[in-house]
Amino acid sequence: MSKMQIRDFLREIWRTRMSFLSIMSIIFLGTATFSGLRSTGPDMKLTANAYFSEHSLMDFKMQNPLGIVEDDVAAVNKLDYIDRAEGGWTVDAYLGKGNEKYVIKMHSISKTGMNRPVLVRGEMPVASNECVVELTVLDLFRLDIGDEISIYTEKGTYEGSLAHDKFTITGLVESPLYMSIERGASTIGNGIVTAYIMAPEEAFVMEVYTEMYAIVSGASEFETYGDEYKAYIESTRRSLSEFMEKRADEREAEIQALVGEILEDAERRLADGREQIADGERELANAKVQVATGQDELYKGRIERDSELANYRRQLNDGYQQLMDGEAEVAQGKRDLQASIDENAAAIAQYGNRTVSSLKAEIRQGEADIVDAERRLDNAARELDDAYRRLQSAPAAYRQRYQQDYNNGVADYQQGQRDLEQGRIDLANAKRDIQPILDLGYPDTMTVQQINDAEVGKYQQQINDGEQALRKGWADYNKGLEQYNDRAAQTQQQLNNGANEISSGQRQIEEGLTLLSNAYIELENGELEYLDGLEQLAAISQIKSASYLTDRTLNPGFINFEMDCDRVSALADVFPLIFFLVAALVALTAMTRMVDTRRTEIGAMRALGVSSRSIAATFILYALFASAIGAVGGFFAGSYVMPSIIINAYKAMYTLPTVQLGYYYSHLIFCGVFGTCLVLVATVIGFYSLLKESPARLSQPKAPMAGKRIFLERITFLWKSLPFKAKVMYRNIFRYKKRLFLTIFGIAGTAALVITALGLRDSVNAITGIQYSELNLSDLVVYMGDSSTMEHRSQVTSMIKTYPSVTAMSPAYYMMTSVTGGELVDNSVFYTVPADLDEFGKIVILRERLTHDLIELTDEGCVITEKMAELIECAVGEMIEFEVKGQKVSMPITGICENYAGHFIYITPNTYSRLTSEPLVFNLIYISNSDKESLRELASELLKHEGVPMVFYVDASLRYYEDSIKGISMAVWVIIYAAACLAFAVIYNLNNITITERQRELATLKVIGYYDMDVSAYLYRENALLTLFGIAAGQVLGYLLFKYLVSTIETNLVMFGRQLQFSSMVLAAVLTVIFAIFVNGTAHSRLKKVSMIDALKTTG
Amino acid sequence: MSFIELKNISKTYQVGLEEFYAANNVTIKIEQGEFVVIVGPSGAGKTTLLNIIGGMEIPDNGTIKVDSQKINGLSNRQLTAYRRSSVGYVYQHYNLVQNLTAYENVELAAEIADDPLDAGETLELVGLGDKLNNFPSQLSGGEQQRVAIARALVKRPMLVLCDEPTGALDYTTGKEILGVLRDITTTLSTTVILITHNMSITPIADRIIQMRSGKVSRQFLNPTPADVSVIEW
Repeated sequence: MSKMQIRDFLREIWRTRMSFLSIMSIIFLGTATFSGLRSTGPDMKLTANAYFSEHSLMDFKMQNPLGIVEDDVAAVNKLDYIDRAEGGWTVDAYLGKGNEKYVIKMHSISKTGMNRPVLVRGEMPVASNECVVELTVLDLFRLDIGDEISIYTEKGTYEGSLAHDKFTITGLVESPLYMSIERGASTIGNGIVTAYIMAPEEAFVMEVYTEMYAIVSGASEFETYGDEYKAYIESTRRSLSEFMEKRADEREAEIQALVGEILEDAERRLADGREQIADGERELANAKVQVATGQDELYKGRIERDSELANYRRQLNDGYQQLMDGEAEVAQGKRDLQASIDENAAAIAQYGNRTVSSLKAEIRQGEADIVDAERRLDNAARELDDAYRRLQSAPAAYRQRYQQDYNNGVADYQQGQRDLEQGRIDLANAKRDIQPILDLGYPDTMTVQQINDAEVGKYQQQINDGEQALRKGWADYNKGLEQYNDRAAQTQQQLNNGANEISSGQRQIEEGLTLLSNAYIELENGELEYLDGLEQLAAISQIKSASYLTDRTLNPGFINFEMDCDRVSALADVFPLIFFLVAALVALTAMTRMVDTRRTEIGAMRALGVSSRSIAATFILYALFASAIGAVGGFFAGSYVMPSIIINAYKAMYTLPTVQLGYYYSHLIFCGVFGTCLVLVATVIGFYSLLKESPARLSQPKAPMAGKRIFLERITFLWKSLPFKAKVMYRNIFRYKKRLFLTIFGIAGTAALVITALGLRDSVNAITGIQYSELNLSDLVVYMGDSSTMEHRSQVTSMIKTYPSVTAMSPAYYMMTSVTGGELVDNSVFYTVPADLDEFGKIVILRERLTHDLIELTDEGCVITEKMAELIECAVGEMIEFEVKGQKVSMPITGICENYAGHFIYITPNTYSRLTSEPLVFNLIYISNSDKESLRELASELLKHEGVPMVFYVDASLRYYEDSIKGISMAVWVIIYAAACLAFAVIYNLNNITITERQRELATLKVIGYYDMDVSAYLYRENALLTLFGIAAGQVLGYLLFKYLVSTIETNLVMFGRQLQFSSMVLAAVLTVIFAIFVNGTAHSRLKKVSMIDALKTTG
Repeated sequence: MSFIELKNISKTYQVGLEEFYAANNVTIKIEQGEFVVIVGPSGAGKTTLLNIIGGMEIPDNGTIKVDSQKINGLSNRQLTAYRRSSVGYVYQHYNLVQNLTAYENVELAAEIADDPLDAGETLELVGLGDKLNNFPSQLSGGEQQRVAIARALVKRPMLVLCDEPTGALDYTTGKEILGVLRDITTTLSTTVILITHNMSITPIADRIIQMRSGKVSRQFLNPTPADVSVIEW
């Protein structure tokens, strides 16, 4: 292309910029919508996938009620298709206090980064009393990083499994294990998990792991929501399952061996125990005998001792007495001696130096003296007598003297007597004194002193001897006393010992008795434990088969996310087409218009000899250029904007950190090609008619299109009654066929889009609105455990019946089944057998969707849910085959009920009994309750019962759907917005084209004197009628589109509401009218600009 | 006071960097009921003048009074009102609405007039009484022009402005049209102003205005207008 041509080309674009823009914009819009909507689903999946890959989300999770041991983990790690496997802990615990007590799940943080959480703020915990939490935890308690939280585990499975009670929050995280706001279920508390927290492995003190996570080698190459991943995981799962079963067998064997050992041990110990008890008893008996003997002996001993000691005592006493006598004697002797010494002292003093011979002499003397004295006295006496006589005879004068003399003489005589007496006495005394001495027989030469001394000496000697003897005697006595004491003590000691031994023996006996009775108790306990152990061993085999393997699909929110992605993608299948179809028409109109305006030019060129091809090339290039720019722009804009908006809306429901946007160039290519083809075809069509005319004719202005009567005119009476303006309007409308179709179709498309969008929202609303407020009135579903007994059942039912806020309860048997025929997903159908049909009818409403007639459940057959009926293509009266307790049964369908979530087959208890020959044992209970608060309390109470492993809150489902609605609502708004853009594009374009095409007519009107408003109204009337036609068509189109879309978007599990709400249709119409009015408003100024002079210029 | 008075009317256009006078200080007078012909070569400014008189263009300078009403300072709406009530326009290429019958085309104008003539009668007046329900494509050039004239007349305008009405017609038909137009002035006392580059038409006029390069070169009255049948070109 020459520079000239390029310049001309660009100038042309500028000159016809409105047309260019309109083509470009419609292609832009179509491409943007197409690539935008089509990218969103994949982008969402891409985003999720990137998130999972980056955070090493596990591919498999293995759990076993017995726990997972290191050996299990090591064994799995050895498998070649496993990249790595790790054990981890999850503990269900409580966070908070009192009323504000929430059930949380506490996860261990992998040291290798598996299931690594996103650290939003703060730091990862290091110490065993640190943790990270999710935002919910901070919000619930108004906490922040650095605060401490208390975690309680309750009695039971998780008791004592944590190292600490308090944990310090170090950071805020989001875990890839939890994509949505769902947190899963728990067996503690009220069964609802409110939040999760994560802590280092050191915070957990359980012996075995609660789960094992594994990453499959090479799985991260695949997109997690793609078929390849699913296939890969499936095949791996099979191997892994087998492996796990083998491992479980091994483990069971290990455990059984271990337990066997333990039991053997226990048995041995029990036997030992019994033996020991027997021994103990024997010993005890012996001891008793011994004690008895001992007591006897003691008694005897005491008696012996007593007598012995008494003897002894007697002897001692005798001895003592003797000694005391001896003492007395000695003392006496000493006294005697002393006395005698004293006695003799005088004599000694007197006679000391006198020898025996002298003494003898003395005595002789004395005696002699005495004799003398006696004689004298006798003489004296005689004298006296004489004196007396004298006296007597004396004269008176002399009497006195003689008396005196007599007296004196008497006195002297008396004295003499006395002296004689004295002398006698003295002699007697002396004799007395001396005689003993003489008696002693000592040699005469010895002096008295000497004799005294000798005698004293002798005496002393005797005394000494006596004392000595006494001393000896005392010594002996003391010894004897000592011996006695010793003996006494000794024997006492022996007796004491004996008594002590006896009492200790008795104590021991008592202790022994106590120990024995304790031992009995222990033995009993031991036997009970042993029996328990046996039971558990038996139970282990049952439990083993319950070990299970899950993959990502059981992560809360995982499948829901996929379903949401698919829904968005389903939307993307249909909507963009509408845009493109409209684009086709707009392009056609624009290009035709453009070609028409260049008519004379083309004619001139043809006349000059320029080939049609060459001329065409310019237009084609123009068209290509416009659509190329539109496509490329739309592609990038759409791929960026739409997914961003929609994914951001879903971010409210799911945690998706970084949005990944993919640019799927296939979209661009498709749109580009499609769009360009459209435009080209339009151009060619527009061009073709021109080419047929000769250059000469082309040079002349196009002959105006001939006027024609319209069909309506034939109805003459109707036509005649129409006002002029209306006739003009009708004529004009039907004259410009392209405009007619384009407007109607464009508006119809817009209206249809809006209807579909609103209808979709209604459909999803139906699930929540109808399903949970009209069809399923239960608030709580209580599951009975596999091992719960009849007693449990009756306890639980009476617990519920007596609970004041419960308004209805219906026990039922509920089991998975597979239905023959149709496209039902495996294990998605459940059959339900209510125990009491009346109570059941209060909670689950079986009714026909269209008529709302209640369906009665009878013994004649079964009632099935609508979606299932659709999928297996069965109607009322036909037979359905499904599995009950392992056998296939066939029965007629007596009713098809309205239902939006899940597939169910309802049969009566009689039917069930007939089929299985078993009585009905319910395994769940539907409960309808009056308020939320008491419901939670009831749930907590029920969970405490050992027969109830789980409860399910029905409003959890509801909340999921409500959230789903939010996601869909965003998509709906996007679509409505796009629809508005579409309306704008179509009408704006059309108006421009119309104004350009009919500017002569419009200018003429102005000349004639039509005010601006009149001129606009002239056009508006036409547009308005076309819009109305369009809306009418749109209602029909929208309805069809809606029906198609609903069944496409539905997943197999869910039936969307099938009814399009009348209000939605009205709303759609109103919205479309609003769009139309708005756009037409822009035409007014354009019309004002139509210049009478330019438009009516003579040329052309 | 003349019926139509233009005083010092000027209108310029910007063409590139130059200013071009479509009307240059034009002063003319026209009396009521006159058949006026404005002649001049192409580009002389005839159409511009006609447009100004008809209230479709606003002069840059000067004043114009029609029936004592000042036209030059009016707003768009007022001008439209003026046209609505007082002006009928006839174009060289008829400018009929293709999608409406002859009757309907005339009715288009009648709809907005306060006191219109009867559309059917007006068409009869121009000699198309039997072609009321024909579409323009079903009418000859002359017939179409007649419809246009009828459309212009039905409003009972004071003024009928014709821009080369015979330009697309052959000689005979053209003369017929001229005849129709001429008759209007007598039958309806309408002032008719016709522009053409064909000097041969001028004899039938009451007043002739000659223009050249935006200026009035000559204007004069024709006391004895000829009959249409007389002129030839």
